Amino acid sequence: MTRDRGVSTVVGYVIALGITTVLISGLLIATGGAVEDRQNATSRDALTVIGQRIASNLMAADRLAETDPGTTVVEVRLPSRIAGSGYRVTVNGSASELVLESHRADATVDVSFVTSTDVADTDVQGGDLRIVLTAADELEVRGA
Amino acid sequence: MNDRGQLLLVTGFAIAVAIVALVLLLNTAIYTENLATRSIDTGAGDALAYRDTVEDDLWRVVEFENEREYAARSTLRDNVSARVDQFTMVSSMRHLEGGVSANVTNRTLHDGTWLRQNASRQMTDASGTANWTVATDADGVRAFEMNTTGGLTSTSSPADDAFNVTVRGSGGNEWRFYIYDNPALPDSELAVKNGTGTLETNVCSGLLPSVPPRVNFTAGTVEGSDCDALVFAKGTTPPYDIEITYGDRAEGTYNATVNTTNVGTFNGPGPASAPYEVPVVYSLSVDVVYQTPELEYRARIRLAPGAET
Repeated sequence: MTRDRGVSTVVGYVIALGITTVLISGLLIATGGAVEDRQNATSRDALTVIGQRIASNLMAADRLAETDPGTTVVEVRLPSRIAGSGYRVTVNGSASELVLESHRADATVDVSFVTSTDVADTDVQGGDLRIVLTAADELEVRGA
Repeated sequence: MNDRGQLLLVTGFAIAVAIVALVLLLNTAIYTENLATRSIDTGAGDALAYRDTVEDDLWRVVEFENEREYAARSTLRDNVSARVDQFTMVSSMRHLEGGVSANVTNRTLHDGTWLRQNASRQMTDASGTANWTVATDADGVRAFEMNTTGGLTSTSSPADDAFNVTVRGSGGNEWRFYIYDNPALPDSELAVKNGTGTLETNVCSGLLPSVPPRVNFTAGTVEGSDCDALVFAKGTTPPYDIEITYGDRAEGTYNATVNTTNVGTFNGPGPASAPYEVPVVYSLSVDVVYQTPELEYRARIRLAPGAET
């Protein structure tokens, strides 16, 4: 029995180390997952709000455009990054829909709008935007 | 033994970083809520309100100067311009306080003439000619009202004998309106010929009083009531030539504002014995400009009361 003497200390140490590693790994994975979930949810909320602001300004520009003006320019001030990531705004005029997509987070949001003036199909980087009535009597969303 | 606890330390750092990331996300969420509750009013409503103000009120300023019956067109134009400037200054003051530039610029005054016979006499021109041209090349006519007081010829063939107002359109089509007495009827009688149509007699007889009638050509009324058969210049296209035939076969007064400076023989310009001409501004075109930091709106509007032609 003299060969097994002192083994329990080593075994106990290894088991303790193993359990600690498993617990810590679990903790880190859970925390990372929680952060990612929050990032996606926050991005979706922010994109929804930004989309609604663009839609509302687009409809305000539409009200002005209905009066047959020479110039209509509405500027929309928006953050260029949300939840640590940039985003794209795709304007789908024929479907009367804005699609906002975050570059990094897994978040895509559709926002619809109603206008009587035609809206041009465009694709712009998120940030400050300008809504302009073009010579073709279309409302176009452009980067500022 | 100095290396003991490394695993816990690294884990602690990792969790600290995750907590910082969560705090940053919380910050984003708070910012989003803040953005969501921020006003989205870019001033579009105010821009339209300013446009409406100009549309509704600026013409009154011009009308005021028109009614002062200036003899010289240059004086009229100078005074109208000064009044428009004053209107612009007063109407933009309220907006300037809020850091908004509201302006009326780039004005164009369209010359017209107010033709008046304010004392009852025959419908002849100032030199007494019975068949005469009232106005030539008028792009529009408004507030053309005639109040006949007597002297109507008695006839049963109006096309040959009766007093009439003729509007000849650009293609040569004629609109004619006759006012006369029909011996077979107790009251006076009206007849109208539209463009290429034939003469319709005894129109709107239900509206006629026992005295010679008051006719508003541009509003389409007889004695203040709608006369369906009376549609000014129906069947013709502008610019119009307006003529009076047999002006000596009716007496009365009239007023007309025509969009031309080319008129027949009148006294004046400016107040004189009837009939006389007064230079007026027929209509006014301006740019309404409304600018805020977020909005730029510019629209050209045309101001004129009543029938816009």
